[in-house]
Formats: sequence, C-alpha cells, structure tokens
Amino acid sequence: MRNGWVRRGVFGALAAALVATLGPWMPGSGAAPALAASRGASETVRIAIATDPTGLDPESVLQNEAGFVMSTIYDGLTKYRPGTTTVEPGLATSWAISQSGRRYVFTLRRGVTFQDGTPFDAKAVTAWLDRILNPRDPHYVGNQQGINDFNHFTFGDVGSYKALAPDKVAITLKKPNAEFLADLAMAWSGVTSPTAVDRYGYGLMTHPVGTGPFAFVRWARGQYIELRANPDYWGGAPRVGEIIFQEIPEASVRLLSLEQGKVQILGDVPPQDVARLRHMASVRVLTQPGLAVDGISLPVQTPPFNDVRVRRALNYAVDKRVLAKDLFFGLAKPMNSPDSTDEWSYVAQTSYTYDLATAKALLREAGYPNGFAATLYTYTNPRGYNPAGGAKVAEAIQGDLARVGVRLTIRQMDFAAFLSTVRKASFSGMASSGWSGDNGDPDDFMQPLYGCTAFDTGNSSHYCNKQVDAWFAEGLRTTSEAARKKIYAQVEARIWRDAPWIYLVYATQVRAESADVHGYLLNPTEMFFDMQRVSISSH
Amino acid sequence: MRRSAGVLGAAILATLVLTAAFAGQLAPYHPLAQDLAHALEPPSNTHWLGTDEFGRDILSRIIAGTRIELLIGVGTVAMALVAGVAVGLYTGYYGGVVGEGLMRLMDILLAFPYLLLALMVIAILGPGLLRAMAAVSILTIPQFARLVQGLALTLRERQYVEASRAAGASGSYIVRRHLLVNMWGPIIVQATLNVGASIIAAAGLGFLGLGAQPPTPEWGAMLSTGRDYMLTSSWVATFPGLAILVTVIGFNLFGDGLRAAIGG
Repeated sequence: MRNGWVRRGVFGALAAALVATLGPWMPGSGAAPALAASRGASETVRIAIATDPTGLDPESVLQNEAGFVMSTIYDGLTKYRPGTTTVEPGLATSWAISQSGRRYVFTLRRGVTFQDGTPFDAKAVTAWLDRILNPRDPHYVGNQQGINDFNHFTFGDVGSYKALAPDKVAITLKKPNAEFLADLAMAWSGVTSPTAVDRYGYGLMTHPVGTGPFAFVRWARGQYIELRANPDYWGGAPRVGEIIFQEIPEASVRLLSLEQGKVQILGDVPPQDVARLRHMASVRVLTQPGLAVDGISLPVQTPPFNDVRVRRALNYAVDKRVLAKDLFFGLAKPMNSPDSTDEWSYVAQTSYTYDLATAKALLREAGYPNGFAATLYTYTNPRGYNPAGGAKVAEAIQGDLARVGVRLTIRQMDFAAFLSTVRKASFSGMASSGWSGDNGDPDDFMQPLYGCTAFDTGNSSHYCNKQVDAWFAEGLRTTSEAARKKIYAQVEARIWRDAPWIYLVYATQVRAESADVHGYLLNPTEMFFDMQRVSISSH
Repeated sequence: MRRSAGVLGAAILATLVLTAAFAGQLAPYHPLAQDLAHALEPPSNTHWLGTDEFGRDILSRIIAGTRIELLIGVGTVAMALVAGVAVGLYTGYYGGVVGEGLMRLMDILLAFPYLLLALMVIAILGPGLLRAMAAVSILTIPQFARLVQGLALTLRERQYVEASRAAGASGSYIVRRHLLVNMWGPIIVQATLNVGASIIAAAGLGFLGLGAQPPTPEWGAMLSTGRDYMLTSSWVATFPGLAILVTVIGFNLFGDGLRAAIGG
C-alpha cells in the first residue's frame, strides 16, 4: 500500500523548505537575456517589471506596467517634460484655446511618421479620435468586451473634432476642462497608427504602433517585451538600440538580476530591499515623492461608518508615523491632506496625530465604547502607491484598531478579484485604497477617489458630497491656476474633515538602476518611462 | 531501523501535541501582538527566532500555529475518513450501479492535480481556513474510499462473512461487525500518513493566500510572507518552513512505523 500522495508530502515539505531557502537564487525566466546577450549588452537596456502588461493599446488599458511600455512606443499631442508633469508640445507643436476655454486648435508637428511608415497628420488624429469617440467607427474601442480604460475621464467632455488643414485639428469640448492638455500627455492618450488599426483592429493590444522613440518588436507573454529604437524619432534618435521589458514576478529574483547585471533598471523595488541595494556599489537607488496616496476607504453610507466621529476615531487610532518608518522602511510620509504634496494645489491640513485617548473618546461619544467588528477587503500584491502590499498594511491596521476595540476581519484577494469586489455600487466594506496620479492635476488626484460619479473607479467609500462635487466641476471649468488653487483648498479641507478614509501615507516612488545607466529620470506619474535620452556606458 | 524511526516520529508527534495543548503557557509573547518598532529583528535572547515584519515574535507564532496545523491535519483527515470509509464500504460490499458510479467519481478526483482541484473548490467557496480544509478534505476522500473498497472486496469473500450471511445477518450488521472491525488497522495507518500530506496541502493553500487569513499564525501563510524578506531577514521564512518540514516528517515516520507494527 504505497501512497504517492504521502511520498509527495515528504518531498513537498522538502521542496517548500528548499524554495524558501533557495528561491531567490534560482534564475528568472531565461529566454530574453540569452537573446539580448548575442546583440551586445551595451546596446540593450533591460527593465525588470513585476507583472505582464494587460495590453498595449493606450485607449483600451489602465495598468501601470502597460503604461511603462506604452510610454516608450507612443506620443500624445502633448507630452510631459521628462521627470515632471509639466505639459510641453508633443505631436502638437502649439495650440490655441478660445476665450470660452472650450475650443482647442492644435498645430501638428510636420514630417512625423508612425513606426509603420504611415504619415502623422490631421487625418490620423481624427481617425484616432473616431476610434475613441465614434460608436459607428468599425474599430470603436468601446465595443470591446472586458477592457478597462480611462477614455471617459480624458475624452468625456469632447463634443466635436475636425481636421482644419493637414496640420491643424480643432477639438471642441462641451464644457471647459482645465486638465485637458495634461490628459492628452498621459500614457492612456497615445496616438495610434490608423494603418495599424485597420490592419489589426482590436489586435492593436498586442501589435502597438505609435510615433514614439521605440518600436514594438515582439511580446513573449509572461516573459518579455522587445522594443527596437526608432532612428527617425522626431525628438532625436534614442541612445540605445533596444529595450527589453522583462517580467520577473519574484521581487528577490528581480533584485538579484540587477545585482548580477542581467537587468539594468528595476521598475519597482520593494521597500524592504532598498537598504541592501543602497549598499551595492554598482547600483543607484532612485526615489521621488511621487503622486501616490495609500489609505483605507471607509463605507460612509453604512453604520457605524456613517458617523463622522467613528471615521475620525479610526484616523486617530492608526500610528501612521510608525507605519511609514517600519512597514515602508522610511520610504513614505504620513498623509496630511487628501491631495499629494507634489501637486501645486496641495494645502497641508491638521494631521490626525496618533492619539488613542481621542480615538476612544470619539468612539464612546458615537456610542461604540467597546468598538465594533468590521471586514476589511484587501489585495495580496504590492502596488506603486503601496509597495508594502495591501495585505501587509491591512494587517498592521488590524493590530492598531484592535487597541480601540475595533475587530477587523481581513479578506484578501488577488488584485483583479479585489477590484471587481470593491468597484461596485453595492459594496459596503472597508477596503485598501490608493491612487497614483495620472497627469499631475488635482482633479485627477481627487475626483476619482471622492467624486459622486466615481463609485466604479476609485471611490470605494461611496463618499458623495454635493458641495464637493460642485467644487470639482468648478475646478475643471476654471482655467486660472490661482483661482483653481482656492477651489481645491476648499475641497481638501472638506474631504479631510469628513474623513472618508483612514488616511495613511504618501508612498515614495522607488526604482533602481545599475551605475552604467545614464539619463534615466523618474516621472511623478509612476506609470511613465522616459527612455528616449537613456544611454549605457560601455565597459 | 524502521522501529526506531517510528519511535522518533511518535516523539515528534508527542512534542507537537504537548506544544499545542500548552501553547498559551509556552509562548513567550502573544502571537498577534504587533510591535512595529521591533520589526524584522534577528534571533536574539529576547526573541529566540527573531521577529516578523510586524514585530511579532516568530517563536510564539510557530507555537500558536501548532494548534492550527494539528487541527488542519487531523480535522481534514477525519472529515475525509468518514466520507471515504462510507463510500468504500458501500462500493466494496454492495457495489451495483451506484457503487460503480461513486468509484468513477473517486477516480476523477484522483486524476485531477490536487492543487488545481483545491483552487477550483476555493474559487467556489471563497478563501479561508475552514474552506481550505474542506477543499483538502474532499481531495483526500478517494484515498480512503479506494483503500476501504479493496479491503471490503477481500473481506466479504471470507468464510466467516459467508457464514454470517447464511445465518441470516443483515448487510449493515455484516458491514459493522465483520468488515469495519477488521479494517481499522490499515485505515489508521492511512490516516496518519495523510495527516502530513494534508498539512502540506493546507500550507500550500496558505502560501498562495487562499487558506488561513491574516493575522492567523498558519505556517504556510507565514512562509509566504517571509519570502518577501528572504534576502534581508531570512529567519522570517526559514523557521515556519522548518516547522512544516519537521511536522510532516514526524507524521510520516510515525505512520510508517505504525504500518510496520500492525501490518498495513
């Protein structure tokens, strides 16, 4: 009576121990390095990413890793100056905005061609807009099943558009939108080649063609994406011949790959590994405050969370400083406004400083002297705005809240299941919440999290305040930055007081590069990779 | 040789049971008490096995986890045993179309890779310790069903069973008084061996985040989170891994020893 399962049991135990001990020293996926090595390492930059992109059609995806790759393939009509969210000319060299703030006339860059040879002109721009906005277009992106996109946010206000001349396009908005130019520079606003769209249709997801500094070569799913330099790039030929985005899911394997020179840039670095990287002579750690917030959304329409005293009590009960210092290894700062410190609109609010006595008093006042039980939904993986990982932060919060009698049950799920659970109007639990800014505008940073119409994007607390929503609308209508500053100052103060979140931390963006990489700059929007000026020194 | 291995297994099990029984007294700290200021400290006099990413004492968590692992191991096997023995006895003694159908179902369960099937069960039931136990338990049923069916097929042809039948004994009487009493030995051996396998399976699900939910000190889940700190704080993963290893080896040595002693 030999039993295979039992035998496997013993070997399983040994294997588990072995994986735990040796896992980090096992090689990553092997195909791409060998392929690249034969072409000479000085010509190739390899970038380690944690997850496969969901697709490479800018108007049909919404995922940071996809943004990494697409920002090297595509250009928008506008562009962010490398390392900033300052808008500068992209495929449009200039633009004129009408007095009403609704009509934009873009002058297009001449002599630009897509990577497949198609000329870039006004016809290409209107074809691109047709695909996004015209339901009768044969390639209308909205007809695809199961895609996740940002088109309503970016193009929702577009009323009409028209080619005025081969190098002139007019876009008229239904109402003024102060962040429209910044939106056009996002990773989700790349202009796609009309020829490629005709040829591949929705298959553009895996056959991206843009005007950017690098052209797509191949995508081995779950392994790597290979890109070749576009020597005709209008902004000047790139300084490396090839980029390979290599998927390495294990954080420790990514780190060792950098250490051994198998990759040159790490797309994200877990906070616990930063100290080790800083000690390595051949590696530079790059950090930037970043446009990222991490917190816990509270279901403001469900008891006991409908009482603002309860929500404030929970904010006082969490020790954000210790969290930032020990769980994020100092690579985070406690939040003191719903806005990012990196936004021009940021106004510091009075912190909810860790204070158990105040927390308990507030809970008593609200009628919960012994606390209560609640469920906290979270995800298992790390995110740009939460490099420690959802479940880790949730567990720390669970420990903190237990001190005031609030007993949390944690439900952890993989990220896709988590999103489909919390991005629903019927959701009524606490949830790990966070946001990476897409375009450096305060509207993008707050409306998707606290707007009445954002229950299916980032507003899992279902916070809905008519006054705040009116301010959001006013903020978009107003073009003067000084006037907008005043509006968002009110928004921030109000949301902060209403405490629809347990406000936790601003996570620092961390990436790492080997010392022979030059010219690589972090962008505050964490989904960007500015690779055009990057070079590698020869040994 | 086999005997001494069995004794070693018994000693490991005795230690585990005692640890589980007196976990509250043995653990130097509360297994859930967080102290972020002392997170990821290496083994020292104050924390013999170091602390994890929340500053919790790893030794205390492993001690508290003993209860959970034993509950998982014994609980899943007990559930599987009851169902598996029932199926095995029915198909072995009565057979028929129903019995045939049941055994084909068992074959299907056996043919599936266990992890895939466990993931399917959890996809339906949702993650959680009890659900993970249910998943593992369902996967273990065929082991018992196959064993018991085989034994029942042999036993029912024995002369004393035929004599009993000729004397007018009912089917259920024969199953209880003649079949079941004569198969306890092999069933217990099989159960002991399966406890180790069940612990591994549940730890695997915990490792994937589908078993015990935080902050439960389940060893598989501890191993999984410890993996993130492998390069900088290897003790977080190493000790839960060793605990799983020793426990599973203990059950298997004991099971092998038992088999040698009572002749499985």
